[in-house]
Amino acid sequence: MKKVAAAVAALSLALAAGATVQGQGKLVIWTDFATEELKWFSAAADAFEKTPQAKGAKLEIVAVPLGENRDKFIQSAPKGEGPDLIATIPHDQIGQLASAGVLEPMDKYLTVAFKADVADSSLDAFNYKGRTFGIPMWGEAVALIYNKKLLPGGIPKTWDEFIKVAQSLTNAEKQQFGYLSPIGIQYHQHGYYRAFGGYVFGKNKDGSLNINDIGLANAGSVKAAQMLADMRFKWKLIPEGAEDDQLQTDLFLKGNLAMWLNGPWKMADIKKAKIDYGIGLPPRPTGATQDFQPFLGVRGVVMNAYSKQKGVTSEFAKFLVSNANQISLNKIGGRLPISKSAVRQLGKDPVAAGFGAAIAKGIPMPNIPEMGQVWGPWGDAQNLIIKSANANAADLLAKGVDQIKAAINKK
Amino acid sequence: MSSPSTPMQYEQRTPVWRVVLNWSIVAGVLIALFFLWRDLSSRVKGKSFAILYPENAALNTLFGLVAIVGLVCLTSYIGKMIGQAARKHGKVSYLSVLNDQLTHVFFWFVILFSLYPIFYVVSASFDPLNRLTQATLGTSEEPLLIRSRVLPSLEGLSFANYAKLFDGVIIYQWQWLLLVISAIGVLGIGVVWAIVQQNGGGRADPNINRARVISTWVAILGVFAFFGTLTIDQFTGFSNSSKFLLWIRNTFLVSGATGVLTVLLCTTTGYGLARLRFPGRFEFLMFLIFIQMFPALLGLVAMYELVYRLGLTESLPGLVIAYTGGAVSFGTWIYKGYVESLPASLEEAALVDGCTRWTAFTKIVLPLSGPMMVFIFLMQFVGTYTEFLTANVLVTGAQNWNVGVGLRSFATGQFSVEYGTFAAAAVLGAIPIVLLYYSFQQVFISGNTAGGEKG
Amino acid sequence: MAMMTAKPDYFGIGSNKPPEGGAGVAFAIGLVLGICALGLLIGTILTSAVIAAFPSVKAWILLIFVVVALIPLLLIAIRIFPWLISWYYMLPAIICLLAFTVYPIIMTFGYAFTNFNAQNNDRPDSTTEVSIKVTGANTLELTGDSKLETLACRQPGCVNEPIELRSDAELGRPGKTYYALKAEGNIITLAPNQGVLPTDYTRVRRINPVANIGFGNFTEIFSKSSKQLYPVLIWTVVFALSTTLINVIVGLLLGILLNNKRLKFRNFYRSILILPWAVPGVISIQLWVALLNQNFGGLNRLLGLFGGLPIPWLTDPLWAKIAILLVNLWLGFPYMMTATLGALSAISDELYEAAEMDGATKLEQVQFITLPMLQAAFTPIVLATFAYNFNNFGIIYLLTRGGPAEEGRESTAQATDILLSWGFNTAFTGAGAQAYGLAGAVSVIVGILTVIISIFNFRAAGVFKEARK
Repeated sequence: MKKVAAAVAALSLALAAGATVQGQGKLVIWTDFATEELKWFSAAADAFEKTPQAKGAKLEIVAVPLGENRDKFIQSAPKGEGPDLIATIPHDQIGQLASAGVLEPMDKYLTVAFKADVADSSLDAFNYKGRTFGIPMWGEAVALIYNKKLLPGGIPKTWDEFIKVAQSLTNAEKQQFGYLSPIGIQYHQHGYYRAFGGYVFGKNKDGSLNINDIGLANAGSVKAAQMLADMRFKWKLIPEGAEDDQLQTDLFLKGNLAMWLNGPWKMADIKKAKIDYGIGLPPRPTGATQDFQPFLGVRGVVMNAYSKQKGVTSEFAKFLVSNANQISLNKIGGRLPISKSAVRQLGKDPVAAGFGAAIAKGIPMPNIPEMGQVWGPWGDAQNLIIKSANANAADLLAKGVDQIKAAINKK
Repeated sequence: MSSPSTPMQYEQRTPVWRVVLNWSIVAGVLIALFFLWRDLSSRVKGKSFAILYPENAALNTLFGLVAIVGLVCLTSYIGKMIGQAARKHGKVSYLSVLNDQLTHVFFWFVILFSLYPIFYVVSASFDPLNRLTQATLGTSEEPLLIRSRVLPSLEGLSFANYAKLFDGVIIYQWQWLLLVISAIGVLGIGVVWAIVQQNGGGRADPNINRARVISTWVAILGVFAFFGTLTIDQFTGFSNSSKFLLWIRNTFLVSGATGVLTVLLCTTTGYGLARLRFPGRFEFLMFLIFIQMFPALLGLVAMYELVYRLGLTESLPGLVIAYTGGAVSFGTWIYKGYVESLPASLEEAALVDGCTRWTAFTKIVLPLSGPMMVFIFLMQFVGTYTEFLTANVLVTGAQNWNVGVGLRSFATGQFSVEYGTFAAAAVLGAIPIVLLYYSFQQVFISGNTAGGEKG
Repeated sequence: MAMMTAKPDYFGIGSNKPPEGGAGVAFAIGLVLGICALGLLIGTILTSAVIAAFPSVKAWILLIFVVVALIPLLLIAIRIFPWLISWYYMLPAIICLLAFTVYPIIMTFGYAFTNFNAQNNDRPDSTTEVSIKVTGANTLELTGDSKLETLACRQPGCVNEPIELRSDAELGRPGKTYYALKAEGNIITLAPNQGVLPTDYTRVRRINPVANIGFGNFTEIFSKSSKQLYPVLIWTVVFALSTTLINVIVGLLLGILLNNKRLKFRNFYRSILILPWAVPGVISIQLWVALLNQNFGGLNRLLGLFGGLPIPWLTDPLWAKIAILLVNLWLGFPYMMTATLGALSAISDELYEAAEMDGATKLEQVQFITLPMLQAAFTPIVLATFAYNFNNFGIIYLLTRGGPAEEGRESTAQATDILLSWGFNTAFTGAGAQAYGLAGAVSVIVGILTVIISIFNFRAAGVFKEARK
């Protein structure tokens, strides 16, 4: 018994010696940057430590995957265990984080000059209930990436032509594809929904989102969903199984795919594979009332409301989003800065220009917590619609929206 | 472990209801398969572009099947002839040879089924393009299996994925020495194995056995010492993947400590429950069983709260705490069964001689239960080796991850999944576990049932 | 005996013989728990004292202090109740279970009756911050352009609303919690008797309290039970039953075949076939996801070579279920096979030889010798496998994530969701994200269902009788 107890005690002592201890004068930064970008980030942190604003603080960088940081932040921040700053958080998590009380409003740290320099939509994206909860850093939206070798004339201007070209380039037997996109993932497909008049949340008079007005089962949304099913069953562009992201990547990098609806995060691989690419937007679908308007995602840095060193932390946040840093990050990782002057400085960079156009058309993803209830049922409905040629899109979408409404109103 | 004293009586005749039952089960399975087939043909909308359909595939399949059956029949006949010739008297039955050969064919099918995914992960780990499956079919020059991508094409193999795992890792010279020592141990195991094979694989003499045990321990301790002495300063790479060796170290420490703790807790408890009778024993047994039915996954918040209150979040001891509670029931139950299968007479004799229960336990039962303790340790070690749900809640920084969290992090990137790195880490990460299984095969085989067959 | 007749001792003081009957059991358990509680109390006092003296000491020394405090307590207890020695064998495990298993369970049960989630966490809400100045003993006045609406009180007029006050200098630390009496215009009145209000407070945030909602979480779950709980429960039972059955059959078959001592290469076969068990599931299940892709997966490509049509393994509700059974077979058959081999090694060869002399065929030998002999060894294994698969979250989460979507089902309870994955989806995905209270309620339900089903199983298998022996 005693031996056991002693062993337990000794063991826990020995192991605890390896535990990390949080010290004073140290900023803890969580980041989802990886590989080259992490190297860049780490260099930026080193550079900041040397500036007078750092006041001698040391920065500890902890790499936390993007999918994890929200839940972990909510859990640990109120207990004083969270990071001082997170670089970066997608803006659509802002509402949830702010309601949990872990975000520090950033309005007082934003200078007029900074506000004037960034795209308005990106500041809006971080605005929740009248406060700005993060400093935007870069934006992302899906666009049509195409292979210039297969499509020397560029993206067709009209929808009929677009379908015709895509069909002519599609030869499944030979593993040639004209157009692919992950048709089950609504983040990618929002542009079409919007083009036909669908929307996630309507707007109140004051411009805030109305959670009781969900436009994902309206006539436009049904048309959009049906059109996505047509891509599979009528035009035979996206056979079953071809919605897989990994496989589409493989096809595009091999030069077997002409047009690909995807985001800037694929550009590093595409450049590495030396594909002669161009970037544009899909034409307005037949019967649609508006252009393709993708979801705009803005990434930015946020501060912990429970941080003990907000002064220094905010200095680092400002340092991080500085013009020079946005440009150097673009050079490393191809991220698209939201600073107008940085965009000007990048000039004619094809990626910045191509996705820049998509971002300009983009609709910011709703940043209210209720958005979390939308993805599941919406995606399920779409997945069922693209599964069989005679699915009832209107009915499935309506059922999905019922589910969303029930989940939202339960609170 | 005791063999029954009276031979088992068996009936010569099968009761009718059993025959009926057996055949109705067969019929049920066939009907179910038929409906599945019907269902499938109604759901599948024709052929797929990414799958190679050779011409006359169905016909060839049928032909191939017939050919295989014919071949087996033929080889069985040859086998029977050879067997007959070798044996001077007695008859070799054709059916039993056929039976034997069919068994071998069957086993090869099962082996293919078992190895297929493993082969895939190994080949993916050498693919620099981050793919688990290759989307496009091959050209007609390639062999059919590779052209159809049933087996991945092996062109453009590289060690890039593996290199990522060791990017910027500094290993000191004396740590290399530890690895060398460990390698010598492995070599020793090989030599011993070779000697045993040379001698016909029979029971080895004690010296050989001792050599085997010593080299096994040298190998294991060498590896443990190597990983145990790794420090965070040795990892200068920037990406998470370059912390891979650190994750293995963390896992070794956490799973090792959990395993040791579990063994300590389970042996005393299991012994007490097996040999002592006291009020509350049954209640405690029930408590042990039912407490583990609570879905711990949904209580992770509370576990976080507990670990936080102890000030152990973001640390390895916190993980040990979280794992140990969950392991006690299983180990105790197994150990209790094992002790019950031991004859009580040994301890009783010792008790009569004036031993206390405790000494009877430590001096008689514990030395006997070495393999069982190893089994409990291994189950715990293996079970927590790739655990990721709890670990993910309790630790955040990549330097504190275990192998499970690390592997998951590669496979769950939002739009960019690092399958190549995942596969490389999977291959390297699985090696310790696979080696453990092979070194302790006998323990795994006897451990599970040791408690079940008490006399 | 003499002592007992002389003076019945209900507590067994000074005796080696424990008190008997139900009361004896209760007393023994109470005594053990009491000692643990006392140890915890002393440990806590010591820990708080040490931490007060050395603030840098971490709270985990509590664990050591409890153990240290328990040693003298136990020594004293054994003097008074010598029969307690039997319990001492159990004590390390009991302490460990109480601390690291029971305590979290009790906490989770506690959450089940609250609306505890990421938002309702007894912490101030960042979106409700307004600047104020202290204007009286109990009154605050809004300053600048802040509006009372920003505070977004849940009660009209902020009656009894918990709010947090803090000063600019204190940014970063949680402020102090006060209760509002009412709020009108731009004046907030605090409830009286909350101490002296420091005048340097400049900010107010409303607190999202964790409220007791009684059986609210349970009503919510059962209100949707026909769409969620029942179909999921049915599939959970079907899955656990059939996967256990399939794995046992295949494992038995392979084990019995391998047990044939005349079979060549049997050690080689056995060694290779252990591999799926040895490769961690996190790895192999991920691989299966790739192999089961409808158009690109290795399995369908293999079938294609034989003219087979592509099976929608992971995209069709029915076939996804089959895929899960298949993958779980791959993961689980080596275990069953080795278990069979282990159990068979205990059957003596003489038995078979005798049977052979009597003219029994191989099949009859298996039916009348092997299977009956295996029954005893396999009962616990089968029960454990069933219980394990009943809550086998890992394979569902890694292989299908509960999907694919099925018409008429909710997104938290799809075609292959089992109870546990459904609970996980309900509590930890979607906007409610981190609905700890709901998770607690689900865990209570899942726990009770598991226990009920296990009691049935145990009864059938005679586990209770066995345990009482």
